[in-house]
Amino acid sequence: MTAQAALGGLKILKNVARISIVSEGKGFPSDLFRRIAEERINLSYATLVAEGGSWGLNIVVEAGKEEKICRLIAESYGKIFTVDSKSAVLSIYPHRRNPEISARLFEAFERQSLEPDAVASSPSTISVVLKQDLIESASHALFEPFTFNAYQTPDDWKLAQEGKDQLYKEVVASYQEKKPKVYALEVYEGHHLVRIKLNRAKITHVGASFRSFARLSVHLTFLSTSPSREQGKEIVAFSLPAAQSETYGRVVRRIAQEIDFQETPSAIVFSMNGPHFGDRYGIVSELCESLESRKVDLLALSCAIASLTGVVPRHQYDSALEAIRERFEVPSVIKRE
Amino acid sequence: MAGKYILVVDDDPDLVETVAMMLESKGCEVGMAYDGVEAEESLKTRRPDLIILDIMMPRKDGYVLCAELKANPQTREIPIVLLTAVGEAVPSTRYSHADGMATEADDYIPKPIDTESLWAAVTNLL
Repeated sequence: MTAQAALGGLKILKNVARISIVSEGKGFPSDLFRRIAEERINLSYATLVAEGGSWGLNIVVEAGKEEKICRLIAESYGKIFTVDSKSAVLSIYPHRRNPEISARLFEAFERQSLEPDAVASSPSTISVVLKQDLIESASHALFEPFTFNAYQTPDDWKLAQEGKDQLYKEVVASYQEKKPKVYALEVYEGHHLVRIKLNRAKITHVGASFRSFARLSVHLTFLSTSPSREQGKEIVAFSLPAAQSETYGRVVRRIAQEIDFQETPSAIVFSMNGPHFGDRYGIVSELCESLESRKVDLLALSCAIASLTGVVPRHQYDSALEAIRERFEVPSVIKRE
Repeated sequence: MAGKYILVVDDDPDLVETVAMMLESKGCEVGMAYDGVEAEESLKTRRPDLIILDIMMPRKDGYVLCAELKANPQTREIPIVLLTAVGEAVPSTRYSHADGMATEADDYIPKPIDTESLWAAVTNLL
């Protein structure tokens, strides 16, 4: 076992429901997100990965709201979906785009036979959805590969969580901006989007590949999972900087030999973080509708904590930026490598 | 500005990351804390040249921490920039703008942060 990695903290959002959907047709996610927004249901977490002409989605809402969403889906789309009414979201931070953090998380879960139902990254966090009854063992498992600045033990961390719920209830969703504000739009140019398909129970196996990327000092800018249209399979999507492709090419080729694999060689990753992204409805809907209005192909999306991170084809970057600026108040665009 | 050490305190880890990357790109060293208590712990190990401090945080909020630091002779000279997301828009007496003005912070930056304004505030105080 290597030395523990120091992290800033972890957060757990309990009492949520996860809904996983696979759909045909490109307009579906935008339409569904709009309907969810019209019902004023907040999306605490969402992942999306495009797979050919279909989409795989994981969405997380406050427990009790899932029935309404399921009715919406059944009435309008008649699609197959899975629902878990007792889920939780566990987030660790900051990962600073170091794939070793994801690797350690996956390896820790694998050792404890913990299966995440969804994984998403934000600029600072790696967030996983788990069944709520696994949260206790999952949080304990994380204290093996990681140390957390403010908490020496899982008990310290638990003590610090007391009262947090009340604090957020005092202020959250107090107002709705007509045009949602973002702190900054961060753009990562020149990326490869890699999508691998594997058995659901084997998601944590990607930890070994991520550890290889870490050894090669390759940054992991985006990570998201979604159900595949192939029964029992899950898609893991992640982005790597194209400039380092020679460095990590051997690892990616090895993945491609072993697992169903797809690569989009020229993509843009963008992240948006706003003051009310984590506690208001309609943000994902605004983004998807804006991109759809400009005919931008959203290849993958992760929405965790208070951020949205999306991946679009490189040649559609200008259209994507215009679309986002139309719907969101963006004070600055920060370009990153 | 190279070598200046700035402590960024916010319970939104993604915002901390955004601000940290901006400051690091300007040559600053950045410490990160995710609530007021963590910030206090960080202050025990290294004195920052400046603190960027969010208001609404768990365990100890920015108003309380700012007031305590400004009341302490050992820390009162550390410049503090408050991030004021809730000052005017939220009708909560606990997080009113008046409370913010009473904390003796050295500057206020409204959220959403314009990174250029934040950098201007930082350079003005250092």
